Amino acid sequence: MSASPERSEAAPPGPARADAWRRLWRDRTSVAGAACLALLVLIAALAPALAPYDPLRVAMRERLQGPGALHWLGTDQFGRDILSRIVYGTRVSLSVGVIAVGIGLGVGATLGLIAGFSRRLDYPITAVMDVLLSFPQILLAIAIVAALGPGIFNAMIAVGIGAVPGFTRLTRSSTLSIRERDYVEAARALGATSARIIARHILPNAAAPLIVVSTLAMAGAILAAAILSFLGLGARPPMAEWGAMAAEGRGLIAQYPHVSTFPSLAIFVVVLAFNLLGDGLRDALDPQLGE
Amino acid sequence: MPTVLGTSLLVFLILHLVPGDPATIIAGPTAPADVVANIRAQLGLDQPVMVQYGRYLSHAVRGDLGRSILTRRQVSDEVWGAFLNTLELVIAARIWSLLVGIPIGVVAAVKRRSIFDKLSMVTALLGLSLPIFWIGLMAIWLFAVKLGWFPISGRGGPLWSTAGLQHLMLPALTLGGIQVPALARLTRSSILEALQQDYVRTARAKGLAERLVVAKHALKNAMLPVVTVIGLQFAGLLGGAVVTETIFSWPGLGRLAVTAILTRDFPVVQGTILVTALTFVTINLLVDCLYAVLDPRIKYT
Repeated sequence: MSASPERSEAAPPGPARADAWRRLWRDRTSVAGAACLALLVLIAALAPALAPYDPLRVAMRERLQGPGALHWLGTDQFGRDILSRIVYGTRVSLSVGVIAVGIGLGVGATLGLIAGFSRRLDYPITAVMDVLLSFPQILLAIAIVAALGPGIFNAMIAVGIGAVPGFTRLTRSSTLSIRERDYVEAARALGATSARIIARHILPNAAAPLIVVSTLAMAGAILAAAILSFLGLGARPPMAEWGAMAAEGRGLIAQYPHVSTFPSLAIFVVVLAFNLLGDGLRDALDPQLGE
Repeated sequence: MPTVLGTSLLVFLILHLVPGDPATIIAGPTAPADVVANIRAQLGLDQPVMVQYGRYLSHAVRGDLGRSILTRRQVSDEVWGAFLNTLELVIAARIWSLLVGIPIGVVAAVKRRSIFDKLSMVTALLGLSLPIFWIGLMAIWLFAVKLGWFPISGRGGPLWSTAGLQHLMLPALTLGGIQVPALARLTRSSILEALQQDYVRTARAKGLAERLVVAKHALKNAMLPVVTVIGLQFAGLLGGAVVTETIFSWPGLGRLAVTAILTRDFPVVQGTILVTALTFVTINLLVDCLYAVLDPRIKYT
């Protein structure tokens, strides 16, 4: 009788979290993703020390060199060192991911909680989100960027807004299912206010899927922002941003494919790392989904 | 229908928040103020936003989307032509991604934990993280520049002409290519789940050949979520079409929309997005109908 077997849903957070960590740590690919991300954060932080050249330094005599001893990844059409630009671009892409997902998560989770909790506001919020979800995120982002004007900061906002509907829908459905649980009813019977119920019961229990989706959304946001920059709607030259760098190499693809390729591979590595970590987190936090 | 209405209203409102006045763009930066005001009155831009929206809607239901502010051509003509080009590209991409993605997923599921399974799933995971513009650029570099098999960009003409087909190849390959990984992964997991069901065990127990078990029982039941995602992926395809059309100078809806947004050509932007929204609604309807065909338990009244 002492160790009650019926505590499944109201399990104390401690041991469950430790379990999740252990599962995550055992999954080699997600550890690799996390290690890769840690490395990238380090590169971003130490960019001035790591980059061999000034990312904006123009040297027309050294233009369009292939990878070599002086310029490990070659130079672009202005003779700028591609490796240095990629190193500095890490800062741009990681901040794009954090800010865009921050907007999407902050606004989306708030709206989702409201929709899940208020019967009156549920319909209007859901209706607007369904409209937003009905057309491609990238088209939505393009329209918002057009309204705000091109630029890397506006691109972050646009991608962030584009991510809101997904977060809203997820938070709303978690809220709707959690608020029916016995422990919420118990809390309410004890006289807990809605704010307390949200803070103490709904949010902690809705956190796991939000963490997973946020990680995967980082990958999507970085990719989307790079696409906006590639289309000329995000970062403006001469900023060292990977999508814009790839766009600058577009006309040179026939003879100098390295100009577009290295920045694209940088995008690939970051996006892959977030995808690996996100997949691993999903398996760790939601063991039922695993094999 | 509410989706289409809502989308059109949203786009209308967003575009009217845009700083930048089309009348000034048409008249040119040096035009005197009364000329600009004249143009604004002519275009109806001096009316309240809701009046403009109401008038736009009443014309739109009659197929009149207004005229492009820049080219003065009928928006419906421009959008329709671009829509057909995009449709051609998207359908070609869809077909080839299905032809590649689903078989890979099926084989990976049936030969679970084999080299093929591991290799294709790792490739799929890598493919999911590749930026689409680089795939397009690499396709140009390899197939157009190095091998010289296909032209670099543009649309060659109608689909049935050789030039038309040749021009379609690379953009369709690129756009379809980004859909293959997700499709293969989903098909694999869906089949794996179906293979664990009781009816598959029954089919095996009655001595049915494994090939038939997969084809007749597992595949058919596994297709339901796949069809959903095929429908959902059309959104991704139309989004990806924006980039693909830009790289390959394909005269489609995405390119039209980007150019129109950059030149503040409001009627064209509205037209492209309205048509896009209508397309989604139609596709969703078709997907729902497909459900009923695939799963007789689903009935519509």
